Amino acid sequence: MRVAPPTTTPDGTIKDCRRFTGSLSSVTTARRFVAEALVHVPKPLLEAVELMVSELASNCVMHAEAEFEVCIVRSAGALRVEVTDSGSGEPVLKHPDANDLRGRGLVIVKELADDWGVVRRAGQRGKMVWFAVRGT
Amino acid sequence: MDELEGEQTTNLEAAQVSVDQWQEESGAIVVRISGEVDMSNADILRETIDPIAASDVRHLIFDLGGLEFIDSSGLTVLLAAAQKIPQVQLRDPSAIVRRIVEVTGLAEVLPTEP
Repeated sequence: MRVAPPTTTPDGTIKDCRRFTGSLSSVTTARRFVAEALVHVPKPLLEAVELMVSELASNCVMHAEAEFEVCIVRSAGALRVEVTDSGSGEPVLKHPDANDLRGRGLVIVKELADDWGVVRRAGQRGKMVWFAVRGT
Repeated sequence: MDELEGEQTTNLEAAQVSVDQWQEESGAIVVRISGEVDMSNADILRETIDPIAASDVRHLIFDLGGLEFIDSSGLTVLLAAAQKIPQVQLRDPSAIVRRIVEVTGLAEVLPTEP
């Protein structure tokens, strides 16, 4: 896990990023990083954010087994979390019925976030999945 | 951790889960899951729950009152039990757990105890 100090842009946005290895334990560590960085956020919202981070980190480790980076972007009243990996796995929003055991991670992000999306860069492996919540 | 002195550090504690089991007078088996469940330790939960689900238990109650965190990897373990046991219910799920169960369409399979 590499640690760099948070950066602040001229518009007051604070960006705080950490890198994690592709190991299973990184799913827990990524969640703890977010929980500690957002200790001021109201508990119901923080619980939702921790859950979404756990789902996205799980996807990185399960499908890509790649290093991943979690960035917390804070501006007035809003919070955005970006989870980036360099793996070749593709995020798929599935519509599992009650008999399916897998494929619920992105469903949870879609339902709990105010907004979310996937960003790919042309010619590069990997992708960034982000979500945003208001009321922080 | 010495090399990180003076810098930000993050709690590296692994996710820990514990499971207690007992039988109520009604005959229902109660499985109390405490702690945190994510992908790093969901297999530990699965190894504990699967043998219970494979027995001839008819009514199982997951007591989640001591659960601090669970994500879809932990939910998958509960769902696997619900597919094998005629009646499975949740006891004391937190607001966020009830919400996950609802948004993933599992409220009928994993209903909360009345």
